[in-house]
Amino acid sequence: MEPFLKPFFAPRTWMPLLILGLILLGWGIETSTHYESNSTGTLSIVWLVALPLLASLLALLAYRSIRLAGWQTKVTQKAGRMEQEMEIARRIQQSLVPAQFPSMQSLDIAAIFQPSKAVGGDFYDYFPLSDGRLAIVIGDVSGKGIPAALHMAQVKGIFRSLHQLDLSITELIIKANQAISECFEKNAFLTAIYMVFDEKERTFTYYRAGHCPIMRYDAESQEVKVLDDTGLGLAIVRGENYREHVQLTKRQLLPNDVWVLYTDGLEEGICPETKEAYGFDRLKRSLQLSEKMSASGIMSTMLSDFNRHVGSNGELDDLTMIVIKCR
Amino acid sequence: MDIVQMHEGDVLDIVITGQLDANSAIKLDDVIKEAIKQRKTKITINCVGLSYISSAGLGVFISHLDDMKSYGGKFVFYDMSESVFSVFKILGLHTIMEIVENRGEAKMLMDEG
Repeated sequence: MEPFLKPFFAPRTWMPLLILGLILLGWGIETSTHYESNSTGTLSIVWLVALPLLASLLALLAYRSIRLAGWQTKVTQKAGRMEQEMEIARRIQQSLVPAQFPSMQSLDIAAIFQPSKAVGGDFYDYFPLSDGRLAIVIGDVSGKGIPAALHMAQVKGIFRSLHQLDLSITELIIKANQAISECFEKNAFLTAIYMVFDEKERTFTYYRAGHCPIMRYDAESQEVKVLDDTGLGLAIVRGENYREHVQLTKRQLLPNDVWVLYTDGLEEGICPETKEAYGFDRLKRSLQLSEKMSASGIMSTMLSDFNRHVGSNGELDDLTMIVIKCR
Repeated sequence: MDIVQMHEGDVLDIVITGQLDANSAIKLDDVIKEAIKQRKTKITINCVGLSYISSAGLGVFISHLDDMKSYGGKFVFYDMSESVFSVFKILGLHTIMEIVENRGEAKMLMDEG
């Protein structure tokens, strides 16, 4: 519609006219009922004013309805296109996380990546290193939805590029912090766990960058332990100062040990009835109960227990989990 | 979420009550931006009524850390519940931000500079 015509179509313009028209119509009917024979002059003037006025207002309303229907169709089409684009974005993001981990003699690994919306800010990846070592990373960008997903893609690219440089773990983390800080807005940050598996030594060397603690089933003591070693999220301290926060931990692996890395969506899943979060204790218990299974069996059991808690209407966050079982 | 500001000398005390999530974080960000604009960079945060903090809420404090430092100020958090403290601790924020028991300690820390 031309901008200059807009005021004429606004309810504040036509509503008083409609009321006036209805009053005149009412008057006309009233007059025609009481003065059928002798007041034709007054009657015709009333009809003469009321009827064209009402007719034009009805035409105006009809025009508005047609325009509204057209606008609704446009909105529906736009929403459909948006949905299609989100589906493409979802597929692209799913392809950014590996479908499966490489087969290894000492490790059995299963993983899941499940954004709360079409796309999300979680991710995981792996990188084969020299001497048969394998690097594994899991991360969670602050926030949700499209902004988090765009950052997630950046982070994936940063880790992938840095692995071409054959850096030590500490140097890689410091460079990753620097690069991520340059990409993220000031209020965004990343939590992550970066770990390197050494098949010869049968060890994991890792750094917990402010991420949810690792849950480890210790086959020797048959207990689930929490590895909450100190560390700071990435892109919080921007610059070389971050170095003082990086502390690596090295742990020996025993056959049948299970390591579970996850994002906070798992712990924070809310039960719609009780409003209670799934919580760390349930996670621990569900790992304890499934420790004898394969990595994928443990993961399915833990997810089933989680899904029972949150139900089908539960409000979910992005959820990512890696289960590593030592052979 | 409710935000109440109380000025005491050159210290600004911000009392946050309720849940600090993505929506309420915008309101808090405006308050802190305005304080920094007026060079009120000694800010104590009363967390006694803060029941939940999301990553967006944490992001507000993180985003202003450098500005606060460059103007010689800082955030000091006090009366924080265990659940909110554990969020700070997992992320490692307790190593770069000051978190104390009560307002008295917060004030003392601020006076020390």
